[in-house]
Amino acid sequence: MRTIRLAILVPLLTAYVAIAKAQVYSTYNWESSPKVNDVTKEETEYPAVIISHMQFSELLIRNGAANSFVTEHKVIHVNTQAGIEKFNKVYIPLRNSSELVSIKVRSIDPSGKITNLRKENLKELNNVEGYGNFKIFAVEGITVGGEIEYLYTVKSTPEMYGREMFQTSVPVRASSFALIFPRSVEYSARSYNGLSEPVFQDYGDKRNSISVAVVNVPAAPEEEYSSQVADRMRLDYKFESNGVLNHPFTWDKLGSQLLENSHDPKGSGKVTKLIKSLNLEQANEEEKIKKLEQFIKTNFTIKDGNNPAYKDIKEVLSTNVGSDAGILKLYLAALAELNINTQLVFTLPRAQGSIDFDFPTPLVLQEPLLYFPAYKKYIAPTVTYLRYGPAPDNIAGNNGLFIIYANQTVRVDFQRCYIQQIDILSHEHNKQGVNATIKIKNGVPEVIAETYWQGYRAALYRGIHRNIQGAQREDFIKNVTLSGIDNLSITKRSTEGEDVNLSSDVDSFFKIKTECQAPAILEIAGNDYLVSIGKVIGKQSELYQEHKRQTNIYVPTIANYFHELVLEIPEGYTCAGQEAAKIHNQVKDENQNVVMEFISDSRIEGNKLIINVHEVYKVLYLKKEKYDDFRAVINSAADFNKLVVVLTPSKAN
Amino acid sequence: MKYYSPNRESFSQLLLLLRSICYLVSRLLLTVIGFVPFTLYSQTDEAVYLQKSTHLEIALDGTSMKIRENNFIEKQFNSQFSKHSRESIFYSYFDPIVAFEAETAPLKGKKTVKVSTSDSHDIVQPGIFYGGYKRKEFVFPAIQTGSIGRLNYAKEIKDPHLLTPYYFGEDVMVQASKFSVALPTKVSLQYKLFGVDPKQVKFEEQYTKDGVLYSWTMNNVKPWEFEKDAPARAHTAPHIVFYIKHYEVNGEKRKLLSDVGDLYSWYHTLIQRIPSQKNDTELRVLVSDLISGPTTDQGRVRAIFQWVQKNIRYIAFEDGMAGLIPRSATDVFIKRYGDCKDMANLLKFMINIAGLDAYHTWIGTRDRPYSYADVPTVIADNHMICSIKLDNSWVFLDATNPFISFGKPTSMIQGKEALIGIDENKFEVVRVPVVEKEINSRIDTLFVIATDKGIKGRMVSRLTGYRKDDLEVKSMRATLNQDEQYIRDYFNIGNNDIQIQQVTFSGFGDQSSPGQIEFEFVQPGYLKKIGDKVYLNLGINKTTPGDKIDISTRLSPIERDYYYHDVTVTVFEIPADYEITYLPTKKSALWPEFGCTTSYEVKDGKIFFVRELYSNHLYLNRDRFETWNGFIQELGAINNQTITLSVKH
Repeated sequence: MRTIRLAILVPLLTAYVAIAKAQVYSTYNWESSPKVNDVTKEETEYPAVIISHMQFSELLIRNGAANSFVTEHKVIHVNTQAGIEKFNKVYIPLRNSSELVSIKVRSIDPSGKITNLRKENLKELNNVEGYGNFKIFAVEGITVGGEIEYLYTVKSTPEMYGREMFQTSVPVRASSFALIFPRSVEYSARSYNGLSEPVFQDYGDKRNSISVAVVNVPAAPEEEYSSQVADRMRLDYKFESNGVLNHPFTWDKLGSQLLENSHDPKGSGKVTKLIKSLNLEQANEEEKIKKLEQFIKTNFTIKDGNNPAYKDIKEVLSTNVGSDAGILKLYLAALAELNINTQLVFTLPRAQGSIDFDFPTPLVLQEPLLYFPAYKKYIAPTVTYLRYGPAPDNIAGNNGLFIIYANQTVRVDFQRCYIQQIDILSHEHNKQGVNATIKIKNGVPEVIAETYWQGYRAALYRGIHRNIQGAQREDFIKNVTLSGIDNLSITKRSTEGEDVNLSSDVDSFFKIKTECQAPAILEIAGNDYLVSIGKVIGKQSELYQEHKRQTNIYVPTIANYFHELVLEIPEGYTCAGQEAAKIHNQVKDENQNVVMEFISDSRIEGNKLIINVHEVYKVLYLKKEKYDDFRAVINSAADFNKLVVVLTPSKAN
Repeated sequence: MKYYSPNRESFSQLLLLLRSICYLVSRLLLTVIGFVPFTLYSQTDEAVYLQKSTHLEIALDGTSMKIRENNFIEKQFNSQFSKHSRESIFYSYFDPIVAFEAETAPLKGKKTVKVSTSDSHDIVQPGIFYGGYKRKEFVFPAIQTGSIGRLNYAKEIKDPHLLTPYYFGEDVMVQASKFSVALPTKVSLQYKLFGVDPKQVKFEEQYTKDGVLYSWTMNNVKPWEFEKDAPARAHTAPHIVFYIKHYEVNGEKRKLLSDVGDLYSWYHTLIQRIPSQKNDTELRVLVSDLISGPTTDQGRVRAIFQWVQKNIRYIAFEDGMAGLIPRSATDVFIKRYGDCKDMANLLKFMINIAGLDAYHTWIGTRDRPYSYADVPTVIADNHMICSIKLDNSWVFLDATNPFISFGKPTSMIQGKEALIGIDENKFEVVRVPVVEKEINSRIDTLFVIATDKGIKGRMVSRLTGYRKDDLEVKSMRATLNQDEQYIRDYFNIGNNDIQIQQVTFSGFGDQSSPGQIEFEFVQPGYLKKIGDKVYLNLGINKTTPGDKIDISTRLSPIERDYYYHDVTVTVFEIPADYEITYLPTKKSALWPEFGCTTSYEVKDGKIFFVRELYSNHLYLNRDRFETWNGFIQELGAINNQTITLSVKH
């Protein structure tokens, strides 16, 4: 399917200019006698097809009050039961003061019969944790081969910025978005990932518009190691000016505003007391930072939600409960009190996209970090299991907006902002793997293994280990140690370095030692033993290739595996088949540097078979053109899983 | 790269899981009345409930009953504050919160901090589109090691039929747990304990000037743990189910829930409240069309059932009384969606149109371990189906599963009691059968030949019963998740790196025939060549019935979805220049609840390997864990048998 981009406004919209002078939403309507659309053979391969998806957001100023009226009109043709399942339940998000002005929902069955939604079946969900308010409905009367259609308008405070995604898991025949606003107001917009450029034009009636319309948008494939947002077609837009407020979204203004929001002088007295209680006089600056973080992360609870009490630093200090924003204020105040040079950083996870230098928008400033330039280290204030050191691996490598300010307890002085890449903790500090010895005693393999992690993985696993207990913890350990072998009989287990506070030393290790019997790795063929030694490194994932790779490669984390497996060959036996342990695959970057690699080999020393494996992922992103090489490295470990050596009685016996 | 790599998402899922358990536990909280706290807990416990209690006040006000539920907890925090400091109170239209107070009392004379901030959330539960359930949530403030959080709240129970069980335990240790009820002598109560030896619960009865005070106290209640493949909490957690049998108004005895007959009478009044049918012409036309083909009653009912299965989507839309009363058949027919009771009622209505009797049927899924005789209350059931008698046997129709074949119950109601409503006064309690293992089978036939580096061949898999339904559900999910590998994951044959081609499906979507999947596969590296020897394990598909159980830590029984019987036949063509040097012997490991046999036979230059595996239990209790582990060990040995071929000399 080819994408044809149209740089024109949606015809329907232009058509309505003449009729609706003041507003579009109230007169815009759907077809009074709709018919089910024919779908192509290609389209029937998907559970559904979006026939049309039109949205327009009108900014209207009446009696001095400005409001946005956002209208969405969608027609979905469903091909299968799964298509109905996917699209028959609709959630309309409503921001705090938003209201649903109008809504119409209907289904059209293949024979053309229409079923309208009855208003009593439109329900409301309030304050759903982490999501806010919704109007919800289930489409009535929809059958396979039929169509779902809905049209609604939501009134809200003016939309200052936003994002529209144009690609989804099913094909879209026509999709459009338009911002309509008075001439006295200015907006800007930018397209990404192949979406046609937005069109700025006179909308008539003393209004301007920005719009994008596309047809035949292919379905976005669900691929492993890919981002669902960063690579998809989208439009970002934002307010620029109205004569009174001018260009509020520059990096400097955003930085200054975010700093302002993260500071609250009200709690200064209590913060002084808190710092005093920590007895940090003798500590050096880094120790102070660590102790402060440890104290906050141990004693304060982060609570989602918009409740103002969770944002108020005085409340936060008296209850030890705060929202992300409240906790951030606490850090800033405490660090100012300690007079530690700190920069405030805002960014977003890599998979959610990245900062576009030329298009400042709050959309890309979601996650806060604290940066200590003297030590080039970070605190992730809202990630409770992490400790002072590297930024979280889902953020590292992305650009961040770094805000430089002067440390003042009672007020903050914004100085300037800069955009810079957030450091990635290199593979040198992300060692992990398993060192294991396998002996066969009385026909049963015994394994003594030490599984170890450093860096990002150690921090994560320490966090999980601390947060769960009993059967769940056992299950977790089972999943991260010797996971390739079923039905182990554990005889001894111990952990070392599990304290989450150790994570501030990125080189420290979290280790789990296991002694066990592992009958599952031994197969018996007459007098011969087959040892599935490859399973000892843990169950490895594998990448298949069903289609040509379409999206770029997002690697979740940096990892650097070193495994050493020692098989003690029983007396009177010889070992064979180990040459299959020789595997080597790599990915090189444009400068021919090796950025990912799997290399394994074996040797015999006396009565020991020794196998060494090294697998490393030094970068977090690869262009899709590198997919075959990437897949070869990933699959090397899965191939290694299959390694079986054969022990046969020596001829002399 | 590691297979298990919990990224931040799965980490937060873990946390969410933890949280949701806490909610679940706190769902059925707690209450007042003086206790002497025990001091048995260890400081290594992250938190401990010093007290937890629920006290019900039942009063007669004229002809109506007033019920207030007072709840109280006192919880001490030692570490991991942010994990234990959150509390939630669940409520709905039927049990609104009427009083709430919470505080943290630090140790050593510091000031008490009152909870002044709380949030109310609408709850979105998996599987329920709109439920009308809400959650009041707060965090105990200013916690330090040793701080004590206190929560006192009350709810009004609007309908005496809807009393919920009291669970003695929580997600952490509870030192003293007490449930009590104060009621006038004119109200008569019944109770039953579950998940606990009654000797561990102290029962007291005290007559007061207003009536009677009953109480049940249990000390040092162990934390309830979430375990994999465990039955629902009601199976194992100590709890008490209590209900009002009858009460007296103006000297006249009014029955409420003295037995299942009373429960049915009340259910019948709810059924009477189903809105009347408006304009059912279209539905009648549909039914007469559906039944025009089949010549038997069974055929007609089957046609109606399959139509509902195929055309009515399961969407649970509960809202106050709508959670108890089905919507009218025409309403559901027009909307093309409904929840279990909507579907059951539509089925009944359509079958009635066809001139046959069909009945509303209440049933508890396997999550509810109660019988109607033990617990004649709404707690015993949570589901509705439609029943019909055909050829003198009851047939249970549960259309909530779009794939289940006609005449077979869904796996979640196997072995459960069905309360079948015949008419205003007549009902029957009938046990739903457990589907036998032979009906749920997967028969795999593999034709395998050796290649230079591995093996290749063709596989035919034939699925029946729940085995078939399972794959249909998986296939639907895979479509929704754009998962193109589910077939490979499902078959789990060989090791990694299998290539599957030319997959064909037949029989799916057709209840009258088994589902069949055929494909060709290539698997490099599966056989091992050393010198002139070749090693090959013919157990190419690795389906296992489960894992070894850690007897020292496992608390709950293991729950299975259904019985099954799987067979694998592998036909391996011996390469012309090779001969067999080792062929494993026939083996079997057989118990009543599970077992496996394998055999090897050589014929016409081919090796025929047959493996049969069955599972014949829904629950595996502690007393069978050791036997199970013995089975798993033997099964491991059976599966690890490898044939050896050598170059002919």
